[in-house]
Amino acid sequence: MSESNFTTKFLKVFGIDNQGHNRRDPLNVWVPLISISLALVVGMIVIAASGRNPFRAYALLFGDSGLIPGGSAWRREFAELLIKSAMYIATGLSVALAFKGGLFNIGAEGQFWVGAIVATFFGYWAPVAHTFGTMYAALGSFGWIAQLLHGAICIIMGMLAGGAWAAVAGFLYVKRGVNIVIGTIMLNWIAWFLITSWLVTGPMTPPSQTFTSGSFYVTDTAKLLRIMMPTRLNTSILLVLLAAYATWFLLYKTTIGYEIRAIGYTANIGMETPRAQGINVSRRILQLMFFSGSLAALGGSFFILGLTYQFPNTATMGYGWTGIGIALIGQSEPLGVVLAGLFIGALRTGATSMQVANIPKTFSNIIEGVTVGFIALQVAVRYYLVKIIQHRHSRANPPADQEAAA
Amino acid sequence: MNITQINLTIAQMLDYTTPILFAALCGVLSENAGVVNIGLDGIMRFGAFFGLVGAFFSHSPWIGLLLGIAIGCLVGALHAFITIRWNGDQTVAGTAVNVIAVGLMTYLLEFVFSTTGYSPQLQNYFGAQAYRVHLPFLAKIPLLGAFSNLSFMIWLGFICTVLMHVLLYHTVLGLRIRTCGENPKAATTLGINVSRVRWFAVVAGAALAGVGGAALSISSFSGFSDSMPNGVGFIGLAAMIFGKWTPFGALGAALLFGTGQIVQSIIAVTGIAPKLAPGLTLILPYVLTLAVLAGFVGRSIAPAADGLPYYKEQR
Repeated sequence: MSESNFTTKFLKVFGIDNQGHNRRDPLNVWVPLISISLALVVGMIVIAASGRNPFRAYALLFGDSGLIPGGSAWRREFAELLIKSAMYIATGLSVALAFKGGLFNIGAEGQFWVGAIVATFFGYWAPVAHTFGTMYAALGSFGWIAQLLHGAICIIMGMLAGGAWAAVAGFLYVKRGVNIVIGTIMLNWIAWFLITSWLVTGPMTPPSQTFTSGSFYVTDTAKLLRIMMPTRLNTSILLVLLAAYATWFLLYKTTIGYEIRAIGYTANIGMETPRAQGINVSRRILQLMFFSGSLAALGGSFFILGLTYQFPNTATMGYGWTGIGIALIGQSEPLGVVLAGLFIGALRTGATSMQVANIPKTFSNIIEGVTVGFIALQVAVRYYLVKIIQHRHSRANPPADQEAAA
Repeated sequence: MNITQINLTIAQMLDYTTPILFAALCGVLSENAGVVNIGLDGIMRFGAFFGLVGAFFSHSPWIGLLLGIAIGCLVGALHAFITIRWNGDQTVAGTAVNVIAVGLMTYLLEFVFSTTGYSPQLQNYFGAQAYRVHLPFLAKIPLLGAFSNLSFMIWLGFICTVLMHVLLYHTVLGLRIRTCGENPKAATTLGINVSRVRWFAVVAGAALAGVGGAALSISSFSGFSDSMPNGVGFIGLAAMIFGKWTPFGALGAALLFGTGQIVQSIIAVTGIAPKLAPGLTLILPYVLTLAVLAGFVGRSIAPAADGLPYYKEQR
């Protein structure tokens, strides 16, 4: 009997049943860390079960991930880590922001690619590209101003388009009651096929090229500035950190953010309370989807303006799906998303080296997926954590004390 | 375009339809019991790979099919364990299955066959002449002639649709499944074990998705490619919604979307509208589904308790 009291007390202290709504809950930090550790163990088992040396594989994975300084290639690896992380943090923020408002934006994938294609368009479209080209030539040593402006226009247009794409799902949700998960999944594939099977194989391709060559290349002024020569590292990581700060500010320092969180708290019981408070729920949901979509699109514009400089024919889906994992690992907090994004970026960077040990680079997907699986199981993880804490507690304090306390 | 060509086109369309149909049936069974399974794309990937492995090493597609079913059940049990035993978020669990499937199948492809991108080709698969269902008496009839020489998998899809309809609407178990999806609390008061019914629906549904995956690798094609299932699971999800969460509705939607998939090749053969962009035909399933959900083309409404974890004794 005393034990059950004890358990309830722990449940209360750790806010077990409110699924992460209590921001001060220390388990919010422990659940993702434990999930990642368990996933790394599962990864080791997979490697060992296929008759390979898991320690060698992990040495390659983490040695070349850019996390550990030192070695000749470290600067390059560190740059790659930051370039990859910037895109993942952007989609992670997108999903996390929507989570805060109680919406599951599974469509970060589509919004990412919409942002990418629009950024490509403004990167090569003659009226824009030509203006900034002349400006660059005229400014001489101040040419970087033209570069900043052109890049900014590409990114802003991409973000507007991505936001609008997400707002379509928001509109269908608030006006017609279409489930946001289903709506965004459908919009993902609509965006993907419109871009890869139509725009990039027809209207946006140079006529002389074959259909496998991807879109036009953006002009030099549209490319993101490099900040650490000779590596490819560009300003994307700075921009995404700014976006993370803006997301935090929006959520915790503005009225809109307060209202978004109020909607999120009550999302599974009908959002009557915020409505009664006079919050315009439909309008806030539309705005939330717009912000969320524009964050994913920011990642898409990094992909084009910082890495490929055109919409490549070889583009594969996955950035938005990874973003979901990152938002979950980061427990939907902007700081958590940044850290989770850096971790996944490191995994992806290191996984390329594992090919030496005959392990495909998609190995990082296994770790990501298993981590997300354990986070879905977080009720179980929390349950056993509390049991362990409880066990240690009862060993430290003899049962007699407990009886007295209860 | 003569009769033979039309028949071939129909047969090809049915080939595209089958994996979509199995995925949609998985969704129908699972969601009627109240569990959303977004991971069915991932389960199909599991089914496609293990189906191929079984067929490749045993030289018999039957073993492949069985292995596809087995792996489907296993992944379904994982989904059920997370979402029913521990009331985990169903969308998150499904996402986990999808992401794991991407990584693990590429890993196993490299491990088992030491190749990247494609597995070796199969000699014995359901698409091969020896494994087709021959109905010679249909061959001379226009349109029905397409059905005279189909892969076994296609017929299995039709049979499963009928069985699913009977199960859901003409048996006690079906009534229980639908009760769990509409109002689990009412089900509990009637003495139905909600979590057991949901376990059954999720695992049996996932077995169907596993068959759908196997249909891709050992029936429609004769091998596994790393891009499989290439979103077929999500088309299945769309077909389930477009078919209003019913088996025959799912069949109709799968046929429609299967047609959408091969409209491209029909255009190429007949020369109608050569300028039509391929992207515009590929988005058809998704646009139609959104239209139906939004109520522009006859409204489609999900089971009331779909996607909600059920806490027994919670008020």
